[in-house]
Amino acid sequence: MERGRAGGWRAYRNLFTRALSAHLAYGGAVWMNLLSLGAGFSFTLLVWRFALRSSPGSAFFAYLALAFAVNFTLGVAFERYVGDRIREGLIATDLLKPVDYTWFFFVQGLSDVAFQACFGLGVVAVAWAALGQALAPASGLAAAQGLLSLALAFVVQFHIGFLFVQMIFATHSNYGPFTTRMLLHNTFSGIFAPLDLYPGALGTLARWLPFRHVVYTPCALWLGRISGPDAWGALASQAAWGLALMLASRLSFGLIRRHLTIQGG
Amino acid sequence: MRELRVLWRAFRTTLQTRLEYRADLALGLAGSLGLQASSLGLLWVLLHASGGALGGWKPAEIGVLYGMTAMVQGTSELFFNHIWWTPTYVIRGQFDRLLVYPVRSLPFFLVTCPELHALGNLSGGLCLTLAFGRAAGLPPWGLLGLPLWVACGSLVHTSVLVLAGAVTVRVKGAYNQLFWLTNTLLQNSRYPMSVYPVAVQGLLLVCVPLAVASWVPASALSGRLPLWPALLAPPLAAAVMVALAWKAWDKAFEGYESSGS
Repeated sequence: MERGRAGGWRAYRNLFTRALSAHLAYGGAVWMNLLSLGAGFSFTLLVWRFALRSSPGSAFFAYLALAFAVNFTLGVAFERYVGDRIREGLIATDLLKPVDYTWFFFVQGLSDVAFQACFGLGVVAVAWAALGQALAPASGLAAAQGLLSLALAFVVQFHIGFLFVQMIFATHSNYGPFTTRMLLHNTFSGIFAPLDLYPGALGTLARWLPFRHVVYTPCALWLGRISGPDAWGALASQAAWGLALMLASRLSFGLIRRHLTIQGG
Repeated sequence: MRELRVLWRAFRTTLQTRLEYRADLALGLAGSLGLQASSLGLLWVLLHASGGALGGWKPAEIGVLYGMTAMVQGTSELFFNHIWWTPTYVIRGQFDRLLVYPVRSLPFFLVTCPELHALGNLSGGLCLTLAFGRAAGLPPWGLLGLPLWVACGSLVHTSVLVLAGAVTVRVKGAYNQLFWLTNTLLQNSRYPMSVYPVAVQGLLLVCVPLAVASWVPASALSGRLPLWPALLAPPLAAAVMVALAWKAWDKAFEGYESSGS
């Protein structure tokens, strides 16, 4: 962190608290978000229910429910915020603040996740009532690995997002970076189906990209779809991706901010 | 006629403004084409798991539905995209100016924010429709109806967005999710309707008829339905939805109070 002093930590802690309480003012928007995403998820369930009608299995739907809850909880998208700030020239004020810009968004994202987790847990509770034991962790170890993986998933998700946000400094608009990230996330994170069901080249590509570590890895670990030595391998890969993405995003931010054009006035 | 000229000029001017963001145009085009590739990838996963067909529809026939839906979305984004800004403008009080312009507010508002990534959806959708239509063995004369179906689909889609916009004028707040909900319904109208329970079919074909301009024509061209519903239902759905949306928009602004600073 840029400010190693106690005052620096206090600033980030205060930011977290304020950001969390700000969410309470926009509770309606979160409900709408949940409704919208829930509608999309319901269609996914209906389509899969039809597609797998000859071999229905609650394990598959338990995965989908958990994937939805994890995806909703980790849903941090600050492209629009940063895009608007860059277009209006307000980014200059942000960069002058006595906090590190990456950590500023990390803490903001953490507060988003803490708030959204309440709703995510609600989704899990409803799914548990419907699917029962299918949603339970495969074992105590699987539960611990799943939770550890969820924490690492946030690190991976945040730094992927922050890398894409930096593209707005060059494009001056958020659509391109946002769409590119979302299409990669939607395809390769495993929110539509477990990645072990992906055929051929699509499955290979998904295994090479970091997006699987945002949704698939924590869900698969929890449900025991990945177990034994593979589970530790998945966690190690997730941690390595998190670290690599963090280094890449910090390095590239140092470069991209030199090319920032302040607009407005 | 004069109003149409004003609308065309306003559209062209704002189009020029959008062209200033060249890098975003390139990324946006790549993004919208990528989104289509991504949705086809997920369709591949679904078909792989379901044994190669869905509800009696072959992959190429479902590909036609995907292509037509992308063209509908692209047309809406190119010509009527401004509606997405309604919640922001309400909060910032930016509708005040619009309401005193000597033109009807809704069409002028809709055409003054074209999105260039729409070109990716339009061109990608056209390529998908043509390629999959050929692979599915659909009759080539079906292409004659394509402009009508895409235009009607876009009017239905835009009308649903305008209804959502009218709600956000009345219920102030950051309710952009109503627009996303509309797009979610559009995206899910690209599966064969037989996949869904009757209630959902009713939703997508009658209440929010987003599937009428793609599923009905594709069904007619593939011999599942006679041709006349494909010629009558999309224009009828578009006319009803446009009338409803326009009425709701005008109603929403009755007693409108400015806000912002």
